[in-house]
Amino acid sequence: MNKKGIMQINETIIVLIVFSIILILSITIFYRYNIASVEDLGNEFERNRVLNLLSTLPNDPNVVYSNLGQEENSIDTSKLVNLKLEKLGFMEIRIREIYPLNSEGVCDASNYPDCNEFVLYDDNGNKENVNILTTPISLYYPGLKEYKSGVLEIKWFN
Amino acid sequence: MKKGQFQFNWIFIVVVGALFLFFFVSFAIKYKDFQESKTNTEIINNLDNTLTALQASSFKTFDTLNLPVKITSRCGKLNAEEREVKTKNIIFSPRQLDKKILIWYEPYKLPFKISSFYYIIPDDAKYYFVEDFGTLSSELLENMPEDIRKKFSVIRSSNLKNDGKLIFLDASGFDNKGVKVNGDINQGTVIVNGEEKIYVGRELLYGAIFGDDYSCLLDKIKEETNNVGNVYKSKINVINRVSCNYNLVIDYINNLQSNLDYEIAKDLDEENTRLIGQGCVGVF
Repeated sequence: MNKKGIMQINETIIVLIVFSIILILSITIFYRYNIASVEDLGNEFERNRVLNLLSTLPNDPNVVYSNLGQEENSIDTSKLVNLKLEKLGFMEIRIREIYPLNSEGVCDASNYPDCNEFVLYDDNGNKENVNILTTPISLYYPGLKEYKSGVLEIKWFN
Repeated sequence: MKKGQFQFNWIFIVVVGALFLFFFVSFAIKYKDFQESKTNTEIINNLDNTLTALQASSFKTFDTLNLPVKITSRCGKLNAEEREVKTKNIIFSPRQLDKKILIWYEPYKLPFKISSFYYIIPDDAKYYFVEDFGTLSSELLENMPEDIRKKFSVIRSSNLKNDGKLIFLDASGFDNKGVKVNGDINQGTVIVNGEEKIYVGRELLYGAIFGDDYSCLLDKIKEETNNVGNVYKSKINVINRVSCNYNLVIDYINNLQSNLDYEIAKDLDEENTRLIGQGCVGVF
């Protein structure tokens, strides 16, 4: 093989190396973009799930107020005192009475109904990013036979 | 150029070209698989979210949907090819779902709300109630949405068909294919996939008719009954007053938790109504 031939092969190898580097870089960027898009998709699913939860939780049999077996558009606060929801992922679910506000504090069996906040679920998974979604709700206190205004708050951690 | 160098160049080009070609082809195939997998995940998640969104209504609801891919529904799991999503929704449906489907959503009460049922029916499905005497078929049909009712025909056991699912009501000739119902609209047993299981309420009977995984879903419903029962027992602890005796209600809830029974549910409902009539706080 003559010098010219060797030089041509060396040039080809250099071109291939440069081409491979560019290719690897492109693929890395492409994979990163794909991973980011999958993460975005995961977040979108999670957000939809939380939005669904926000709209369906007030009708959940574990919290809904029913009179003679007929559900009303209200949350039965007497059901919330000892209620702990399970396996919902990294989130925090609170129901807060906002009007008329008579007493403050987290409700338990000893202070109900002289309190204004129910913690239904609490697992932040030590994650830092938090998204907060809220919706107004009606709260019913069966012992007092009173309706009050409240807010359902879901903090979703990721 | 010498002959050896010419050959070497060609071999070099062929080897490197083949490597690049192999790389790009395998990359394209993997990317296609990845995109399909992503699309399947999106579809089953969207289906599950669409179903869950129906729970925002406390009334029975009916809707139709076109599925872009084949979906497998199997006792709390939705699959599109290899992708799987676990769902908390109780879905009574055939295992394979494709193209246009009818979705019927109905809350299940015994006598308090326990869960919500989804009945998913393929648009091309056919069902036959085999009934020689009795009125169960008309009781079942009258509570169905119009579009689902159209899928049903009532036939005699002497005129069995083989182009749809057979549901034997008051009729002979059941040979473990389809569903056999022994009972009335409120309570009884069903034989599905060769297994005899109870049903309580027409909603569960519909579940046995439409679902391929009735046995497994029945276990989930029993679990839900247990959970909701505990919530009501806990509520009684909060609302209990000296002047109101909730012991009977607690007993009935305990009985329901251990055994789904229409009569117990009825007694529980009556006791709750009686307590409300006495001025006590109703349990449900």
